[in-house]
Amino acid sequence: MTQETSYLIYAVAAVLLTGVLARTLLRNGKVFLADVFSDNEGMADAVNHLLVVGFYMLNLGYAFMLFRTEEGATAVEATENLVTKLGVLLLSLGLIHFVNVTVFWKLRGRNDTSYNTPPVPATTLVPPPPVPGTMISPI
Amino acid sequence: MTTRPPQTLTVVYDETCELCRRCRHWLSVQETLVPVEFLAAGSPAARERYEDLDWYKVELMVVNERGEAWVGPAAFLMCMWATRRYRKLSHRFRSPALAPMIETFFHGLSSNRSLVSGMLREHRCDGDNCVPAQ
Repeated sequence: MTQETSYLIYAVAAVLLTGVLARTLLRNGKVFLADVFSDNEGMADAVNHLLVVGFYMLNLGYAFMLFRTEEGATAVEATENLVTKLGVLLLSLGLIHFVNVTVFWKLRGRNDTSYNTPPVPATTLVPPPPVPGTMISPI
Repeated sequence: MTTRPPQTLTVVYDETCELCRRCRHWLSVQETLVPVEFLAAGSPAARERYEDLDWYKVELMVVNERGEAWVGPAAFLMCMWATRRYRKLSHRFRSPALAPMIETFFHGLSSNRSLVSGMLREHRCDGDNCVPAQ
């Protein structure tokens, strides 16, 4: 395999991987965000798109930075370079992907109201504390 | 009794125990999702309000604005529930596996509070402020 072929494979793989991941994020992130911004459909879509655009920029930018390689003399070396690069790229994509999922998860947990009732019912009834401003009743 | 979320909570605690004073201070510096007031069980206000209850000095008590009171381990859970950080955890503690353990723990802690307090260094308390005594 020549150096040129290796470059070509890398470029195609990087763009394809980013594209596939971004599509996954766009589709599934929509569900999460619709839950968070349940009262505002447009907001959910907007936040989703902004996150995905950020994902594209980070990934493609990083992939392009990895593009350059030192000269590999033989076909074996060129293949090794290619595989290493794809490995690093995939690991980074995985990391960014999980950060993104965490962001979705955190956003979802933010307005979780299912814990707003007391964990246990009251044990008994006692005289309530006085309400400020009502302690001296007017005649 | 209703399950409406409480709007305010009054924590009636034992001001004669070091552990209780520290816990009270801890709660007072937490970010709470409902306003929390503290009332020393030995204070004249507490005596006036709760003198008919013979146990109010023995167990921790949390009272909401409607006079619904949580006593003992339930009161500890309510203190956790009041904080932003531990609200979720206070609900988790009700799972069938955890609830008996948590109940035993808080009950044991409460009934041995003078023992635990004896192991703690005295803090100087001035109103809302508690600092370790030099």
